[in-house]
Amino acid sequence: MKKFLRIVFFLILISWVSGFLLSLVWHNSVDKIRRAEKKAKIEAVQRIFPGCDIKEEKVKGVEYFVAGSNGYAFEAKGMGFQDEISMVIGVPKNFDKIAGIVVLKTLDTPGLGAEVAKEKFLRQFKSRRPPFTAVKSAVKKNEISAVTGATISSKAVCKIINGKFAQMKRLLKK
Amino acid sequence: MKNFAKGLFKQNPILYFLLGMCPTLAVTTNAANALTMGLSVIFVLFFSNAIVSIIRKAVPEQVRIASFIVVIATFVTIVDIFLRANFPHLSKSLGPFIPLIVVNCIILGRAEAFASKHGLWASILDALGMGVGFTLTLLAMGSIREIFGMGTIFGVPVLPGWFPKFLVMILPAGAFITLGVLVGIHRSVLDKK
Repeated sequence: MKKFLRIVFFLILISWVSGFLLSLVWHNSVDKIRRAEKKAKIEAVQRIFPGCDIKEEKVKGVEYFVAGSNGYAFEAKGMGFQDEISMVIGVPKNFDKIAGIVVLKTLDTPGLGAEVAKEKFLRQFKSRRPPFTAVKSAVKKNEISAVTGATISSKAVCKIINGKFAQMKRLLKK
Repeated sequence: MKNFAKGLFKQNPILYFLLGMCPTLAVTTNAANALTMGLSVIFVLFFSNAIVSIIRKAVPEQVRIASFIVVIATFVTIVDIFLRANFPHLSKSLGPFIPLIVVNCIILGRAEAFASKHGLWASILDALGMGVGFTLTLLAMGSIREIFGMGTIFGVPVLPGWFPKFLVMILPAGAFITLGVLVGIHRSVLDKK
């Protein structure tokens, strides 16, 4: 019994110290991380709308960016194959097509699911109008060719774009 | 001093023990990634060996591996948070490989095989030796692959323009080729002695 208590006590102690240390480190870095994430987002918006003045706005609590008179951009997140995929979507002001997409983060399998972050896949969305469906090889107007071996990730990207596009269109289009 | 020097060459964790193969093969596509991974491992190894050595007498025998992993995971998470806060680009290009240092067998290996049996001073020297050996080997692999694959080192061009770029060197196959050659050289040098 004494041995048992010693083990329990030791594990609790070591986990507590570890948790305390980590929360201390996190507390001191969280601002910097948020800032770096924001910077990455703004850089992504600039890639979609090069040379535009980027302004941050909010509508009903939803963050978005205004890129001069060229359009809007907003962050979209959703579940991918293994973890959340997050991306920045750019649209012109009248919401009639996609201006560009940049994937910020995906933890899907390198070489398969992670390929959805590459230009080769993403340029399919450019200048086309959602909703998209991911199929093996695209024929119809709103179809997107999925990455071979990564149907789930490709479908997830389409779903994230469709959802966010519809939401922002409702909120922003006058 | 022996504790430090053995990790550099004779018992180099990559070339002699063939430990830590996952980061070795995956992140050595260029010199900068290799160096960041190496330095992160030195940091984690240093603190995990030191702490494990300090608490070695208090740790109950039955749960020692679990306790070591908690210690290691704590420092790996600190590195991960630090890189995300200060070097977001490096953190992004290393992706999941920084959190995966937790399961890097060099670190648990040194904790179990060395730090849990030796004093603080010896354990720190062991950690530094193994860490520097690991880093130098990663750096060698990263440099070789970057030079032949892209003609640059740390992003600075070093090869004349007419020199062909062997794309295979920055692909996974290039990692195995480079590692194989390095292990071969290491073995033959050791055999000669």
